[in-house]
Amino acid sequence: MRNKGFFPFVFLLFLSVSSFSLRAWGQTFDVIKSQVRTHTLANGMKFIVLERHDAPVVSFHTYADVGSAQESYGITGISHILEHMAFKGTHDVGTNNYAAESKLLDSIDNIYAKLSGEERAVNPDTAKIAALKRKFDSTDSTANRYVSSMEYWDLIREKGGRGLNAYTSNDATQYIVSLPSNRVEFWMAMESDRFMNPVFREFFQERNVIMEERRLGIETQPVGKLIEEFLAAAFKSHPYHHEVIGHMSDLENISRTDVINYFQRYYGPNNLTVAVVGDVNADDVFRMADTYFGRIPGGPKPEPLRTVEPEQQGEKHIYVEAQSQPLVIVGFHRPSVRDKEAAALEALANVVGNGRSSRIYTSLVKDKKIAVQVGAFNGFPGYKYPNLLAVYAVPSKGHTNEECLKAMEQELQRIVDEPVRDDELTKYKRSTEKDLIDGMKDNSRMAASLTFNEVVMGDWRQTFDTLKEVDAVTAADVQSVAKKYITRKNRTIGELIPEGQTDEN
Amino acid sequence: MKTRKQQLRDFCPFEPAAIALLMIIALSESSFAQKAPKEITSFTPLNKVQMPDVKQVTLRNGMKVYMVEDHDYPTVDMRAMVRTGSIFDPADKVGLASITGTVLRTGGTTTQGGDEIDKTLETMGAYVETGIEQGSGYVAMSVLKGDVDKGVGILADILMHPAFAQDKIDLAKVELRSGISRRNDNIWEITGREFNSLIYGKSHPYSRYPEYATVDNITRDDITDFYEKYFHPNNIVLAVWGDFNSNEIQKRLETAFGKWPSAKTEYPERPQVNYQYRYTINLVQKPDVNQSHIQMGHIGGMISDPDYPALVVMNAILSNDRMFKVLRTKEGLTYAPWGYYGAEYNHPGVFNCGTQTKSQSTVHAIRLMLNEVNRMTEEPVTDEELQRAKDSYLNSFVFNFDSRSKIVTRLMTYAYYSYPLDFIDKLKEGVEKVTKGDVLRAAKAHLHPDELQILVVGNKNDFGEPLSSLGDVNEIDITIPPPPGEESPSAAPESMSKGKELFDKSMAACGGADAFQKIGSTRTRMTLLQQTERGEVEISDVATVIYPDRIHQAVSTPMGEMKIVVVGEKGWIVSPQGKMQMEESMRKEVFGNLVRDPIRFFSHADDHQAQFIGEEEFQGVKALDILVSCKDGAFHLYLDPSTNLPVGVSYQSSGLQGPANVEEAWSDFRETDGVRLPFKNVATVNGKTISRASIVEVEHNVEVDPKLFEEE
Repeated sequence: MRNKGFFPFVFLLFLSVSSFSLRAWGQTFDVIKSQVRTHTLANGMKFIVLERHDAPVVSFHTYADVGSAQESYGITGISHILEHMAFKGTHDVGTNNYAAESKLLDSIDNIYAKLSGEERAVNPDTAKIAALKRKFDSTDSTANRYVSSMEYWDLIREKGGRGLNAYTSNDATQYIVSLPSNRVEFWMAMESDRFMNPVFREFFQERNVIMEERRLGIETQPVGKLIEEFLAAAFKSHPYHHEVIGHMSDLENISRTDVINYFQRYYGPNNLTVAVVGDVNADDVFRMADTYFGRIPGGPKPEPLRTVEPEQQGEKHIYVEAQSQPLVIVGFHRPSVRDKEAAALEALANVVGNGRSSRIYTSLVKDKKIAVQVGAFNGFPGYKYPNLLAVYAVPSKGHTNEECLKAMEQELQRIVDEPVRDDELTKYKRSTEKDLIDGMKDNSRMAASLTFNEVVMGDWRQTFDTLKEVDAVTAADVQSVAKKYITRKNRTIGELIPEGQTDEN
Repeated sequence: MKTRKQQLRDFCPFEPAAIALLMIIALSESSFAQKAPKEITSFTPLNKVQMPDVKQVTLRNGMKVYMVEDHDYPTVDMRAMVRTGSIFDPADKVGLASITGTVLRTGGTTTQGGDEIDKTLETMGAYVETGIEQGSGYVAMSVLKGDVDKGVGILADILMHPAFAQDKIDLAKVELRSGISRRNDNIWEITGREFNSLIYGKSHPYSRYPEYATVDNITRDDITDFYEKYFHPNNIVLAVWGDFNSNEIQKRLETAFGKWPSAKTEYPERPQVNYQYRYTINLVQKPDVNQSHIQMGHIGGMISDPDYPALVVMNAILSNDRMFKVLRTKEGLTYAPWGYYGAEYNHPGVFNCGTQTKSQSTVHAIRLMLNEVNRMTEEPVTDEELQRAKDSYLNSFVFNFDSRSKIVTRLMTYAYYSYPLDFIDKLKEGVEKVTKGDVLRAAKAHLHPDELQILVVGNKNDFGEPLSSLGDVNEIDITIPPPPGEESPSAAPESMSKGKELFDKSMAACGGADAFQKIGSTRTRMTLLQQTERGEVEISDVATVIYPDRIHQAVSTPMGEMKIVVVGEKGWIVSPQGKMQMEESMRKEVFGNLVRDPIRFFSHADDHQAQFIGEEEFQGVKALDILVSCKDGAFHLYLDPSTNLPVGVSYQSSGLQGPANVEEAWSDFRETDGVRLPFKNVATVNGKTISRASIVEVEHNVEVDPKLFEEE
């Protein structure tokens, strides 16, 4: 794609945040680990800092512990809407007269509430609707006169910001940017203002942008449609059921008031974790954090999610027809990444589907030539809650989902029946270790790992310590999780099939 | 909430206690008082970038190497560029470079199989990859420090002794063919590909794509020849970075590649880009989507252009300050709009603006984008826009040096394209000097807002305002040409037998097999009224044909006379400017006229297949549609249901104005030497007439001067 530099799609398909391991280079990591410092503000907000002085740049990563899994019926997609609104500015940034603008925004909310109420009434009054619409449009365009559009972006751009971005997943909402390292205080001022005094202006235009994003990522993408239907089938109760982008009907109806309420519930300082990696002084960072972020009042931590996905009662199989060549994906329910079986499950996915020497690549791609692409991964669609281990195949020309499914079943059965080989375990351990090292070279990826481990795993040290768990995995562990989870009853199959071929499948 | 400063200002400033308090706070917090974002405008000087030592050597066999030590992490990485590319694929073997690049790695070496290499590398957590892209080949390696000998050993073995195992060639072909079969699944891919084809031309080396037929043509000999032609150490620039000692790694490389001799490569000429600026509207109809993908633009430029720094500034403003603000933030029409004057190192890039929007707002979005391109050339950018674009570039310049890999791979890239190694510093100096006048001048010089080619991929049935309100719409057919020998893969036997039956009936209606088989050559005089950019032009043409594969056209136009000759696989044009070889795409176009000549397909009926498609509307009346194909191409032939006479054809043309679906209506049937054929032919594209031809005289089995078909 040519449009680099904008928000990435929120629902990165087949995204795999591999959990890390470490073996032969423990020393290097011990050194890095000893350089990490943390500080918790009085209001509960946590800062993690790693000083690295190789180049005069710094990466910031703000991790909000809220994702689409926190959404209920009617407001699906709101975490992601909020992420977009967090770029619209504050009382100071993005406006030329907040006092005047603020009054208009309030009255827009009132008009919108009346309008949407009337539109959904049993007997809508069309004349009233038309009048409200006129009022809405005129107030909205008056409010827009006070907007300094994109001032938030522009301020960061002109300061030399790189990679200004944010992404919403099922588990989290993350805000990132890198700056030249003499602009730390500028970031402190911007980011604290953003979460202390946000103004969700230009809301209705942005809601339209997000609907375009849904069309872009799901409605015009056969694979996007498949994933949405597949997850909806695999998770009947847990909110991994719905896509991050949300249902179109919810996007059409979510109000600014909904977003403000959601913000108040989930963006308290004790639900935010920040990592700063680069050419900084940790003490300075902590002092400035106290000064800037310490202003945000504390509050209660949001209540954890209650709903747990119940045990699956039998195989599920869904089809999506589209103008597309076929594709097949199979998912097996597995526990959260915090479970002690997580490393064995990562090993299982690695042996089955990572790399050219993996089981299904060897069988389906190299030997049988019935697929051109295969893979296996955990953490689908998120890691924090019990999720799926998934395997997929993209059939080669002239071959079918059915052939691929059969060949994958054979390989999965072998994993259940026989212990994996030593060289396969070595491959898992060494490739995980190499990925970990490569991930640490980059400030921004390092910052992402530190916040993920702190929030989801409960301790940033896990960035380095997963090594022990990875290293301890045995062939018996892999076989044991295979026996437990790779069962017909526990699986969901999703197939993308060329339009009009349902009958043949 | 207010900042603390503002709260203090709200205090009564004349109260002594308040003043004292203000002073105390100001003193005690002088180093870290809270400031509002916009109050922070000055910064301490940035710490200096510590430039690493880059060691540059040329190995004895000519391989250029750039090395940077980086002892922070225990890994060693290499990346090389190889002077080759898919631009050197022969026209009938598109895909050759791609397969060569893939199988170089997967096909193993003379001493170790590809699968064995996969296993060795993966159990080390390492990778070695190779590939060939449009204008270069690449080789990459990444290993943990302790495995560097093994890694370099494998890399050298692959480069010097590749086996190109047949099984892995087959696999690479399966992948390419599957890619072809899937190329219309994704709307992004369709848009990018078709737009590129509009700009460079359908079969141009910068915009061509493998087809089943071209993949089928590739043999193992082609692959080894391609490898042997281009893969020599003196054609390689290598970048190495990681935890090593430069002298040691140099010795390792000398040892590993020492026995690989340098050799001279005769490079084919690089493809020329001859772009004709023009305004066109193009549509790929995709009924299954509710959002249109739009791209518009024309040819772009080169990074070495003196205007490039001004264009870098212009791009930032056009994308961020104009397209993004107008289409996304203000109008809420789209998620990702952009506008970008593309430049390449050694050939013209593409000026490309694009976006996606719901079907209903397609034309509105296009108008907004056209307006922004136009505005760029008509008025200067604002002071704020200029300042922000330059600040953004200059303040973030340090990120070009924040990793060793960026620094060393940039040097490799500059060396590969023979750019000065300090090009990035020159570019920075250039950007520093850019003024508003420079941006306007560069925009005026390089953008042609009235001559943009516009492509929409979407569902025209849902466009609020029709696309035709912007001009004549050329609909592009993206049907994937079926593999040779599988022209109608889904054809039921009944449709094939019905097709054959109708084909034979039509042949009988036109005079019968015997009459056609007697014809070996023809000479036809005709007049043509052709629509051109200058209006309708009258052309007279004498076409001499020797069936099945020779055609000579002597054309006279108000602009001069021309001879257009195709002999099988070869074609040339003789004009007042002299003789020139025809491009393959043009040869195919000319040859296509012969393929669709009823005398040819009826006299060589056995070489043709005919599939009955159904009863269709053709030129407003019901006709029987049969798909006629032979090894040289395929077209739809329409028969009058009552007389079985062929009343026309339709086919995909890759014409000079870009691809189009052409319909020819045939009429005025007359009999000559026992065959009944049309004397009038009206060609239309999307209902718009592009030419009318009338035959003045036809002679069969004429004496032909053999010199007509000889190149002098």
